Amino acid sequence: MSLDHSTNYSEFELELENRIRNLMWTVSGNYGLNEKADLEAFKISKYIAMYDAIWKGALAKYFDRNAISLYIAKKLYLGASEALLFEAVALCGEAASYKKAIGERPGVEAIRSQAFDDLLDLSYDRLSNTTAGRIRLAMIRYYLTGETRTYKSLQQACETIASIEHAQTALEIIAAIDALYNGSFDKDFELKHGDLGSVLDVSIAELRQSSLWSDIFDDEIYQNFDQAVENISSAVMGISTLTEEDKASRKASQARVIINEEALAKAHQYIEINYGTSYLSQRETQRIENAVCKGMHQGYGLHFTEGVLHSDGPNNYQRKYITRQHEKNMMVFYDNYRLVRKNIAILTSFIKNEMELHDQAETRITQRGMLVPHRVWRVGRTNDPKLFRQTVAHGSYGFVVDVLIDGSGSQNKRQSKVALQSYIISEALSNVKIPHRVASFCSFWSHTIIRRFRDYGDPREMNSRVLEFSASSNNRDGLAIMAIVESLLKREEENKILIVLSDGRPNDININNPYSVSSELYTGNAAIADTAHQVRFARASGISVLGVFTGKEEDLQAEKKIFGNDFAYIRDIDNFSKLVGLYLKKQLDNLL
Amino acid sequence: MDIKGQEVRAYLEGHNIKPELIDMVIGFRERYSLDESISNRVAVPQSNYYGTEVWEMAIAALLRGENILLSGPKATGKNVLAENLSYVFNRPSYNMSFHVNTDSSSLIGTDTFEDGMVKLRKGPVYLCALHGGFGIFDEINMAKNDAVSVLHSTLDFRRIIDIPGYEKIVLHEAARFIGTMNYGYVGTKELNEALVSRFLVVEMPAVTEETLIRIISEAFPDLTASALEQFCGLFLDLQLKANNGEITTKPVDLRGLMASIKTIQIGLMPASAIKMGITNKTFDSFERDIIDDAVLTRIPNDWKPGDVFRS
Repeated sequence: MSLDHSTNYSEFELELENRIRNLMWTVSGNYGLNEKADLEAFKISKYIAMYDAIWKGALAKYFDRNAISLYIAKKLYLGASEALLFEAVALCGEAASYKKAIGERPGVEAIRSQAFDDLLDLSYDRLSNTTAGRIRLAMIRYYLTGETRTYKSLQQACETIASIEHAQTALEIIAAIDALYNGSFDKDFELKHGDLGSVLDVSIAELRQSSLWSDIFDDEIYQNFDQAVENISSAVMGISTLTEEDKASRKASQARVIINEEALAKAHQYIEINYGTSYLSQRETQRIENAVCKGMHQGYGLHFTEGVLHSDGPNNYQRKYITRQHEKNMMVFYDNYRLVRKNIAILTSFIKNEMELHDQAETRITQRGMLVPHRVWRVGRTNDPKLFRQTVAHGSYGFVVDVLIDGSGSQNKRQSKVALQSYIISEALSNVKIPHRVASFCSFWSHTIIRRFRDYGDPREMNSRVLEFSASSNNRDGLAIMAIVESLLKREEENKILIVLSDGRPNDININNPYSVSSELYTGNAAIADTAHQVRFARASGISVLGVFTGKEEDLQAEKKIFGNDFAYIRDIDNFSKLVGLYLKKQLDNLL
Repeated sequence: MDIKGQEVRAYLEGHNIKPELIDMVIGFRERYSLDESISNRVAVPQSNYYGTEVWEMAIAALLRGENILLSGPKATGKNVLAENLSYVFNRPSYNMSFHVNTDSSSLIGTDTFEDGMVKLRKGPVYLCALHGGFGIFDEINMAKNDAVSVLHSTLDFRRIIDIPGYEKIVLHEAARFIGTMNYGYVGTKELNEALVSRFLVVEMPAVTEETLIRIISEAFPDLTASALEQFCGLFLDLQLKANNGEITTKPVDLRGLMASIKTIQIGLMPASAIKMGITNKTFDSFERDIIDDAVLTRIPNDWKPGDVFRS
């Protein structure tokens, strides 16, 4: 699989963002801070970005950052220029927090000097073009050399900033920001909109009505005030040392991202309603997506859920459909109860025998251990002290199995059958106490939904959830296998087995995903090749992959391409266990 | 009371342990004398365990003849406490590191051939029973449950070891067992109920700033105040980071931190020392960057050993 440059780059950016955020978290000690990291600055200089994160972290630690954010929101509401106000916030915020940060962490001083040096080296020209930039340069000179004299026009501003070096409250910082903004950046503001008092007098109700913050005060989502303020904080604290032009272009790019995110959020909401809420945190999901959504799958997403029946949500069509299918499966299960029991017993004994065979301990003749009577004659007659037998156990404890079921629409007619087969495997594995996970996959829009019926460590009772299996939509087999393999590889057991029940028809073309980088459609040979590739990858990583073919005879060739010779073709549920057992035995043979 | 007893009394008083408990510990020491031949097995603690409540729980349990299981994450002082207990009670300690292949023969003993005779090669549990020692089961949950089940009769009220072909041994009255476990390490297993029920479980609290300062300043008395503050701060920063799932627990390594400080003592630059002891404990390059950044805010690159130690 070839990774194109852009994949690497965005992954790198994500890691970078994470790194800068971590620095902010380290300094503030508050891992709930959700501020944008300044990646642009990092590309210019590592130290500028690091220092930016440090002072913001310190500001959040030592001052009431929500008070400052609220002030910013109000000032913007009254018509202040966003870019200029953020310049003022950056200058004052940094001035108020750096001494405290250095007091706690002596290493900050070196990072700060390095950041200033880099700013002077790399951005001197750019900075000297604007008032804010000139003030910053004057401040840097003051910080580095202690020189307080500067141009007359900047003197006042610099004094204001320097005056809050020992600030104790957020209000002092706010006053300085306001003075700096009104005094140097926008001299008409006070005349037009009033002084600090009138800014602070703006009520939350007024903010709520303003188009600027209406998203954040969206009643449905953020009903409590604290949450809204927290969101303002996140929104306004994306401040950086960039100039107005940079800001403008950045804003444009941010706007684009927001639309995407909105659309994605909607899709996400829809998926949650129809397939159930995710059991992974957003960040964890994103981490897995970054790891597996590559190549053909770039731009596609994953959703890990336990299904709608196990999450809250409206009683919609999907819920009713799955409930009905569950009932159907149960009926088929009751009708075939004896057959299923028989199959479970057969499969259990198959696996058990095989494991016991390999479980037999090896014995060695050694110098200590259990005495072997027929070797005792050697005592006094030879110098060979090997009179004992020692057993070396070969642990069979190291097994873990993943069962992955194709839950796409093409399995529609066989839903109950597939559910029963999976249930048989799950029960047999529980009988021999092998930890295993059962999940189905299908794709919806740009997301592949992994629906987990039971997790590795779940108790036996959870096996019956497998009977909730239902099929719909498309299937992106390769991506689903990658997602499962990703977590299977993390298991500590030495012997890992993946059983895939599918019909040999990977197919995901209904939706034209605008984010997809790959122009290839996921169907036919391309999809088969990708799935086969993922199976080979899993095998190369030490996972034993077994295909259980549930489809039609005409797709047999495709199945063969995907799984090589290691797949079981089930014509008839009667001999299901025998066949699967046989192939499983083969896998175990290879593993042990 | 012998000199050592007084020492122990002072030691326990320094940990604010209830006087009644201290009296009983001293009584225990006087009641069970120590054979000269095994006195070298009594642990001499390298560092102190701090935490009055945990101390009292452990002491009370051991005085009443119970075995204890110390459970807690990395760097909570499980082994330090076990060592301290052996010292305080003046009992020889027998350390057994459990692993997947731990079995009855490696714990209790196995036949061997010596001087033309088949003899029992005594295992640490056996010796513990004989000499009234403290058997320390390190990482008890790394072993398979069935391997440990041979100890059931040893650990419960029966207090016996019964090996086929040899006589039944009744445990020495002073013999105790202390298990340690780190729940959730890779490779650890769930302990079964039968085993857990034979222990009183002490949950070891995570190290706090106050204890950390005590531990480090005790090990390195001539550390400067600012260096002490930064080393402790760094450890707590990383601990918080690991608790928030941003990094693994690998770099949250008190042993590594102490070892780094040791190398600074003989002249290594602090930044390099911390790299060896903390940063490089992780092998993921991105994680290393994150840790590096945190270190950089605490330990300036231009710090010299002279900034860390008072000369």
